[in-house]
Amino acid sequence: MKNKINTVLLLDDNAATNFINKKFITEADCAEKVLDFRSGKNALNYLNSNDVEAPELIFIDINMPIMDAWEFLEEYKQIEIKKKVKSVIVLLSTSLSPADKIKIEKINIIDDMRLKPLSIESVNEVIKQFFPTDKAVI
Amino acid sequence: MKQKPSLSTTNLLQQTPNPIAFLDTDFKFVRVSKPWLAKFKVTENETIGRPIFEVFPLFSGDWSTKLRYALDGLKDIQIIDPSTYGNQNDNSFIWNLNPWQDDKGNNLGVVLSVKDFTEINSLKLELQKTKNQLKEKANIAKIGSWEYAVASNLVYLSPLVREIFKLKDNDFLKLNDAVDLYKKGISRKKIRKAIFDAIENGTPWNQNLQLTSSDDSPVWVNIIGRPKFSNGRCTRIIGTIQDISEKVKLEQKTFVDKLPFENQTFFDLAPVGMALVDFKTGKLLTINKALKGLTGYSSQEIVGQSYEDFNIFKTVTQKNTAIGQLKKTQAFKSLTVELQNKNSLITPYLLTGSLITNVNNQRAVLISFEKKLQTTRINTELKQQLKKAEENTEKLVNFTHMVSHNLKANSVNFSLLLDFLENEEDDKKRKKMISVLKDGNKSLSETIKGLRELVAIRENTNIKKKALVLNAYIYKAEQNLSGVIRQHEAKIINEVPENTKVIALAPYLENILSNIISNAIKFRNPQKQPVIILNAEVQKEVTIISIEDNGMGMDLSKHPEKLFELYTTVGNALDSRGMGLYLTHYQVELMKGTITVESQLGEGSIFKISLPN
Repeated sequence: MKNKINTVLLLDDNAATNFINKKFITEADCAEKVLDFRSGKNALNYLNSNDVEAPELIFIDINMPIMDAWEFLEEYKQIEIKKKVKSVIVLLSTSLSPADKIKIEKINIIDDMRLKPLSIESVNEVIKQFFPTDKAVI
Repeated sequence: MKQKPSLSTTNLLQQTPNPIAFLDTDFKFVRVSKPWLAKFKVTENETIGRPIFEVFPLFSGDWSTKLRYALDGLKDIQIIDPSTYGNQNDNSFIWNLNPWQDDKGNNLGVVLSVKDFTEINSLKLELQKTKNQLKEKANIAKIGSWEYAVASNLVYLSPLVREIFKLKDNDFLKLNDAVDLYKKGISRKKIRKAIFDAIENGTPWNQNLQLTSSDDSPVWVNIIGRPKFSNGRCTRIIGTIQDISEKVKLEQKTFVDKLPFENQTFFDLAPVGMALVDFKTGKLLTINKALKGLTGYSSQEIVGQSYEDFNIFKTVTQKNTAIGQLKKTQAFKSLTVELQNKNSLITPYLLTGSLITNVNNQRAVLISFEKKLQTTRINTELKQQLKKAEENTEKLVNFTHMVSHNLKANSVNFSLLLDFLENEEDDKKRKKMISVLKDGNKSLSETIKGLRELVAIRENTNIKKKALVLNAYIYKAEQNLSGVIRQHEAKIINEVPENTKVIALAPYLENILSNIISNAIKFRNPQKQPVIILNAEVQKEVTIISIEDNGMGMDLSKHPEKLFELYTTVGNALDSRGMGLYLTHYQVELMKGTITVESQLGEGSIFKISLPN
């Protein structure tokens, strides 16, 4: 039986994208809860409250208006410290240039980068890579 | 002034193996070396204190002249005087005359030394060269003396000097007339300055200057001047003048002849102005036809002058840069200098130079001159245009990226959603998917609409700005938005004075007003009735249109400029501002205006559009 992680957070300004990603994650059956937000601000507001668990996995769209992925992550670092957790952060983009990949590698907080929208395969790959079944879920 | 040599000189003298003698300013022997006494078979007593002419009565007439030149500072004068050879089978020798000066440059007298022919054979060649330089086609007698008396302001010229200057009768000349004998321009300036410095500061001079000459061959002289003071004031200046025309000619000839060119033709026929400057002395050796044409100078006027005389380097730094580059890379590039041509017109030139060496290892700098014309202004304009074009391109590229990102995301989403829909049987879920599809379609339409507007803007750039009645366009915008205005019961208060006009492009003005008013309603405060106040202020340079609303307001504290940036959003209109503000900003910019926003969360916003009059 597969280990289910507790929460996956989706952050994309496009409603349809969120819908689709949510569907795939649900079909992959790898998480208890899937949350989606369309703005970094809303996501942070939700996550800052004390009785909310920090998600173990976060998929973020690179290009977002008002608060982009980088700004969100800056703030999210504080939440990680506060809640004493470390989430797996995956960046989503419509294209993956080698230049982007190199850029990402230099940034610690980001664990991986994937094409969007997700597919069942890519979701499974992410789960396998970061939440292997023989390890306890953090 | 007679001075006894210091002890150190005496010691040196005792120990030197060469025959050397020191004469004072009266040409009396002051000290002699032992070898001297041996050579001439005289004793100290027979020499010290006695004038040289007494000791060597057989000297030819040349001697006193040359001794005087040496006294005046002329170095390395050589004399072969057979009359001085002893009766024995002495080997012939060469006399060497040099000025004897103390460290302040004051004349103490003359130093005589003697060298045997057999010792150093190359001296022969040296002598020949000196003779050639000094004497070739020139009479050694063409060195004369002159004197200027301050009190009378008259200059006395010796017969020899008058010969050099080609003057017939006058023994005496007024100072200005004497100065006018020098060639107008650099030479005359220099002599004036030299005289001034001598009288004011007691500074002696030794200069090579050019004389005014009516025929084609330039006349160059070396003039030495020494001020004399009495009671602290300068009473007179004395000096010598020597004709060095041939020497100058020879110097140039020597170099130019041996240039690495096959012949002079390339140089002379080059389409750009070119000059050759001796690297060591900085003197101009030759200039080509083109440069003569550009500057109006003839060869004679230029050649022999130092490049510094033309004040081509504005600052010492500029000069050092050029010289530094030459030393390092054997070339200098793109030096802008301002040359004053013969008619006193100052023009900027672009100089490029390279260092060349001839077979004798003499080095010269070959310089090309290009007129700079209006290059600077044209360059600046071009650069500005280029920058603008680059900015525009970048904007366009960004825009294209954004839009294609949008479109791609949308189309991918549609395919997936349609796939889901096909395979979904649950009614409720189907309904949800259809709703998502619809929203996606809406934002796609908005993106495409924005794109079309942008294209339309670009196509409109040929329309000229006109004076438009602002209120007419506000009215048009209200008409365009009548639906939403009514729907949300928005109140539009127009306080723009009746006939206010703005200089703008009609379609843009309409778009801008519509967009901002539409946003004001879109982002209204749900608790208040939307109220929008329009106003206009005509200032000297610009007219400012302000649109104030009582809507939700925005937090612009962090990134105010992002407001007008193009968002990638394809989201629901409710929490996105789409392309509206991006286009508005673009249109305002195209009209060379500016747009600013002030906003407070919960209170509202004010947009101010400033258009030039």
